[in-house]
Amino acid sequence: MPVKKVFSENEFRHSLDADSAKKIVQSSAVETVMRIISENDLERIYDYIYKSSSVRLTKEMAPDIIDTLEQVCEMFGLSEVPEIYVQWSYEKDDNIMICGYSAPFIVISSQYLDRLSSQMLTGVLAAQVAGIKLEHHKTMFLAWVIELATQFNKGIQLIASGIINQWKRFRHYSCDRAFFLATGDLSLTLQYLLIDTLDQNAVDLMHPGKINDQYHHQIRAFEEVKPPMKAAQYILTDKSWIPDRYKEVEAFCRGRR
Amino acid sequence: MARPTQRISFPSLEISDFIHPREAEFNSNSQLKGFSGLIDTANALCVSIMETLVKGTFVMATPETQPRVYDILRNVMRILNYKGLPPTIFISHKMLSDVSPCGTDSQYYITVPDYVLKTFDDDMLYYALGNAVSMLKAGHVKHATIAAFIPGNAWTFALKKPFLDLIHAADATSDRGGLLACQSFAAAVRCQLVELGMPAEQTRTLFTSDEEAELFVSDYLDAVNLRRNENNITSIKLVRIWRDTMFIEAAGNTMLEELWLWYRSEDGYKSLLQKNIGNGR
Repeated sequence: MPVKKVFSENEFRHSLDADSAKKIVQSSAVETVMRIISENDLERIYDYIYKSSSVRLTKEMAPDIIDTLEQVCEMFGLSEVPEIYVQWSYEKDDNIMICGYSAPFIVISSQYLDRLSSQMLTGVLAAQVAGIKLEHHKTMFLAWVIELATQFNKGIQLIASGIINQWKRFRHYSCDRAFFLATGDLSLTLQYLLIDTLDQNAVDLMHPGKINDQYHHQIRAFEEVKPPMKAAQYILTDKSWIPDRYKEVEAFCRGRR
Repeated sequence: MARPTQRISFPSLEISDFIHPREAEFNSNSQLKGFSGLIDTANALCVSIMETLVKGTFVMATPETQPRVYDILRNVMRILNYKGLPPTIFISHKMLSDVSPCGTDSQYYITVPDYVLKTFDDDMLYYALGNAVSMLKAGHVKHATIAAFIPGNAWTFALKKPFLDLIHAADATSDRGGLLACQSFAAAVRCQLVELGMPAEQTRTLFTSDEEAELFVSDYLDAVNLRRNENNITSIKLVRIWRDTMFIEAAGNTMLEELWLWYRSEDGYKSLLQKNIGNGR
């Protein structure tokens, strides 16, 4: 399939997924820290944690997946195609991840992969490739280092975690936009936000992106949650809030019409 | 006993009709008596903390999007004579069998793992939702919610213990409620076996009728009791104390035994069924 367009970062980077994160990663202080980390093999340890419990997919093993990955890399101007690994996990947080620092790679869970149609897979891989393009993997690696370094002072760790957790939520907004750009399908993009919890039949009954979209009930229910309690969870956890992502995707699509 | 061909309703069912004697005794003598206001407040706080997580990361089911689940929930509420507002169902992505109610008197939720929806047949889902609705009916959801928030360590032992004592007794009551809702001892045992760690699909290969399930449980408990008698009684007792202190869920084999005894007793499950035999769907 010929690639129609190369998307620039400005087309999918969300304003809250700030340029400042990339500037921090590229600063001389961080470069010094990363040099020290590399000299002490800490990056290899970090990579090993993921690669040792998963299997690398090759073109011989999974030609469709690798072909799709190569196409989305072209679509988002990523010159080096990242390696992709598959592992078994039923945890939502492990469905798909970008890992690594100097050589990013993708890890996807087999049970998640089984749920994805070929069009959905294009979007899912596009979201990860976009994240690599925006150097999310570097920021997340640094976040991991900061969380390790601050564990002996819970107060500082709490403040650092609050900031990092918010960024981890916002980065999904950029990745979700990339999903939409790669597939051109609003309903599919919204289905992507639900497919890791519901099977396709149940997702179809939600009518995502249609006039009778059932998920809007939940968006309203989420908006009614008391702000202090929401704020506490925002600091304590890095989980992404599906209602917020849903609204962001809808707003992005409306803005492009 | 032969399973009824249609599920029977219990139009005047009260908790006192199937409460486990240990829970009834606990309710009379509990250290938690007199603290109901504080418990309500603590529960409301716990629920409001969980609300962001539930509404932000789980998927709310509606009768339109999950008709099977809501049909069964409505039937379970009618069978068990639960008059409260219908709880809202939220679906989580977890490989667990816990169908857990939480909430306050103004709004209750039941969280259902997607693993349950994929692998439980209708009878098993009747049991699981019956178990959850029984907890709502009995009013000990709040205690379970609070206990889940109290960390389990030496410092919090004294605070957590009265909640765990109640919940372990109450588990037996809600298991009975689950059986009353599904009216299939085989399905109830399969759910218990899933909780003990067996894949749901595999439980279907063990027995096909209530009679076979009864024999299976009898053999299983004989084997468990044989191992108990072979081991040092003191160490078994210590392990049970440790286990009951550390875990919210009561020990699986104990729960299975409690349900099996109630199912077999003449003044238990059979008696309730006989009294209501004309109340079909």
